[in-house]
Amino acid sequence: MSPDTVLFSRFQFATTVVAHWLFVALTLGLVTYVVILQTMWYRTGNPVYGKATRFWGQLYVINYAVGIATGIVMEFQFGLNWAGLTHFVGNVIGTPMALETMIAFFLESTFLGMWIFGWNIVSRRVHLYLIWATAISAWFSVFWVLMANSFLQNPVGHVVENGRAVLGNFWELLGNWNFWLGGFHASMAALSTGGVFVLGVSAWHLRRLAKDDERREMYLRSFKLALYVAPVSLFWTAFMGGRLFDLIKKEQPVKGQAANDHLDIASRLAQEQWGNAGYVPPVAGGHFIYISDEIMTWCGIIMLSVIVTAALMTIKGWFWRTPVVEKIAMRIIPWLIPLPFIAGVFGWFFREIGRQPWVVYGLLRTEDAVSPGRTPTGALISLVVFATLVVSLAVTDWLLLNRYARRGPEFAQLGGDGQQSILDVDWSPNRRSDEGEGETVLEGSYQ
Amino acid sequence: MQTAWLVIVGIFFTGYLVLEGRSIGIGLVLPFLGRTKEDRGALFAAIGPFFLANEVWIITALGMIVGGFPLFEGTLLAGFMPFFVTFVVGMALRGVGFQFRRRRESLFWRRFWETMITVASVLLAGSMAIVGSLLFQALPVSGEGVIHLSASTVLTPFTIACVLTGLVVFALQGTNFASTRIVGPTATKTIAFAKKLGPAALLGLIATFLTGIFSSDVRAAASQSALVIGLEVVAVVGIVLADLANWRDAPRAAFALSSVVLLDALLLVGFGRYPNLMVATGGGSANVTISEGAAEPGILSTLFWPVAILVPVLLGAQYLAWRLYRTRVDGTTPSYF
Repeated sequence: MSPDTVLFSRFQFATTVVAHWLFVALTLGLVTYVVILQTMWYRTGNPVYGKATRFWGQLYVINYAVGIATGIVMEFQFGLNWAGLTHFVGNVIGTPMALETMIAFFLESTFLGMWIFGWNIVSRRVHLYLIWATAISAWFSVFWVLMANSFLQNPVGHVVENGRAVLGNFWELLGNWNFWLGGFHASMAALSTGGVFVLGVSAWHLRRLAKDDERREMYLRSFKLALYVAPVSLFWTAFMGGRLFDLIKKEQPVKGQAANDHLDIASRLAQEQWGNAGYVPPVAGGHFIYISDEIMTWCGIIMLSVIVTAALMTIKGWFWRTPVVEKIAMRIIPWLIPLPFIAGVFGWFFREIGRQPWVVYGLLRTEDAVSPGRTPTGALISLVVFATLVVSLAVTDWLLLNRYARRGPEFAQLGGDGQQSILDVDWSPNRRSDEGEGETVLEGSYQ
Repeated sequence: MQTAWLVIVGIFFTGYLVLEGRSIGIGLVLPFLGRTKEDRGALFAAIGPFFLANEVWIITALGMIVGGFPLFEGTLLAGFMPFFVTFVVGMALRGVGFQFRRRRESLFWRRFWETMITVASVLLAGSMAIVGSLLFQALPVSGEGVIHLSASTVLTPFTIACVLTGLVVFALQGTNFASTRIVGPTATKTIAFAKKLGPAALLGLIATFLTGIFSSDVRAAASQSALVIGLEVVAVVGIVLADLANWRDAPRAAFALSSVVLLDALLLVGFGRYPNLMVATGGGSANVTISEGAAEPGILSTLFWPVAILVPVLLGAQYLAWRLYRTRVDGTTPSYF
C-alpha cells in the first residue's frame, strides 16, 4: 500500500471525525439542557421555560443538521477507505455498529423529526416524551460507538481465526473498562460542552441587556441552570479522564509513556512488546501526544476554575450582589465557549493518534487497514471532496448558529411559523397554528 | 440465518427506497413543480415531517450490512467507491439543504439550498441506480474480492438506461406522494406532472430491456429464473397501472404502485444473481456468494434476536410519525423545513 494512500485516507478520517465530534458534543450537551428546560416548562407551566426550550432547541436543531451529515460520512467511511479494518474486525465491531444504527441513529432521527414538527400539533405531554426519547437514543449512540472504539484501543472478547478477529464473547466487549471509563469521560465532556455553550451564550446576552429588560429572565434561568450542572459534568470529565489515563498506562504502556513525553521509554517498550522501536505514536517527532494531552488538560483546568469559582460565589449570593463580579464574569464566560471544543478535539487526537501505528491495538496496523485496490489519486480525490464538503458545511453551520444565538428566542423559527413568533399566542395542546409560512418580501421576486 | 439476515437488510433497503424515495423524488421535481411560493411551501410541508425519519433507513441498512455481511460491505463500498462518494455527498448536502433552506431570509440563500437539494437528489438516485445496475451485471472482481472498475465497465448502455429510468421512477414516487398529501391547486399540478412521468418511466423501462438484450451477461441474469422474469413483468405492469391510476385521479393507488415498482427493482438486484451477491466476469471462484460475504454464524445468531426485537420498535416509531402527520397540507401549512 502506497504511503500516500494511507496518509490521505488518514487525513480524511481525521477531518471528518474532528468535525463530527465538534457537532456531536454540542448536540448531546444541548439536547440534555433542552430536555431539562422543557421538563421544567411542562411541570411549572412558566412561559420563560418555553422560551428557553425554543431558543436552545433551535440552536440544537441547527447544530444537529451537520452532526448527522458528518455522521453519515463517518459511517460510510469505514467501508470506503478502511475495508481492511472491516475485513479484520468487522465480525467484532460490526455488532455494536449495527446496534448503534438501529437504537441510536434511527430512533433519534425519527423522534427528532416528530419533535420538530410536533410543536402546536401534539399535546404538550407527548411533545415532552418526544424530546426525552430523542435525547435517550442520542446518548445511546455514545454507548455503542465507544464500545466499538474501545475494542480498537484494547481488543478483548475476541478470537483470531484464519487471520480475522471473531467476536468470542459479547459480555467481555461490554466489560471492557476502557469502554466504561472512555464512554463516561466522553459523555461528560459532551455535557460540559453543552453547559459551557449555554453559559457563554447566556452571559453574552446578560451583559448586553439592561437590568430591567424582561428578556433577561430567560437567559438568567438558563445561566443558573448551567452554572449548577456544568461544574458537576466538568468535574466528572476530569475525574474519569484521570482514571482513564491510569488505565491507559497499563493497557497501552507505549501511549502512556508518550503522553508523558518519555519518548525513549516509549520506544524501548515498543521494542519489547512488538520488536519494533519505531512503533510509537507519530506526528511532531512523537511529541504530539504529549502536546495534545497538555492542551486538553489545560482547557479543562481553565473551564473548571472559572466556572467553579462563579458557581461557588453564587452560594451566598455574592455573585449577583456584587455588580463588579457579575460584570467581569459575564465578560469572561463567553470566551470559554471554544475551550470544550478544543479540549474534545485534542482529547480525541490523544486517544486516536496515541495508538498509532495500530488501528486495532497490537493486532492490525493502520497501513494494513486501508481498502485494497485504493490508489493515491483516488484517496486524494476523496479527501478533497469530503474535506471541502465537511469544512464548508461546518463553517456555514457555525455562522448560522452564531446568528441565531445572538438574535435570541424571539427569532427562533422552531415552534413558530417562519419568522412569525408564536410566543405571545397561547400554546395550547392540539391547536394547529393558522399563520402563514412567513415568507419574506424578497420571496415575491422569486416566482 | 443468512437468509433471515438478508431479509432484514432487504427490509431496511425497502424502507429507504420507498419512504426516502418520496423525498428524493420531491427533490428531483422541485425545479418543475416548485415554481411558486405556494407550490414550494406545499411540497416541503408534505415531505417535511418525514424527512428525518426517512433518511435513517439507509444508515440502518448499512449498519445491518456491517453487522451481518462485514466482508461484503468492505468489498462493495471500496469497489464502488466513486458512487458511494457521490451518494454520501448527496446525503450530506440534502440533509443540510432541508435544514438550512429557510434559516435565512435571503433569496440567494434559499435558492442555493433548493438547488443543492435537487442536485443532491440526482446524486442519490443516480448513484443507487448505477450500483444496482452494476450488481446486476458481471463485474471485474479479482480473487481477493477487489472490484476493478473502469469507464468501459460502468458506462454501458444498460447502466445509462437504468440511471435514466431510475431518475424518472424516483421522480414519479415523489410526485405521487405529493399528490396524496397535498390539497388545492398544487395537487392538480402534481397529478398532471405524474401523468407525464408515467409514460417516460415506461419508455425508460423499454430502453433498459433493449439495451439489456444486447448484453449477453445481462440477458443471462435477466432470464435466469421464473422469479426474475416475473419481477420484470411486475415492473412494467406496475408502471402502466400507476400511470392509469393517475389518469383516473387516484393518487393513493398510483403511489402504492410506484412504491411496488421501487421494491421490485430492489428484488431484481437481489435475485438477479442469487445465490451470489456479486458475479465476476471470469465467473467461478471470484464470485462473491452470500455465505462468503456473511459474518460468522455465531455473530448472526447473537445479533439476530436483538435486531428481530428492535425492528418492530423502529417500525412502531415510524408508524407514530406517519400517523401524526397523515393530515393534508397546502401552501399555507406551517413547516419548519
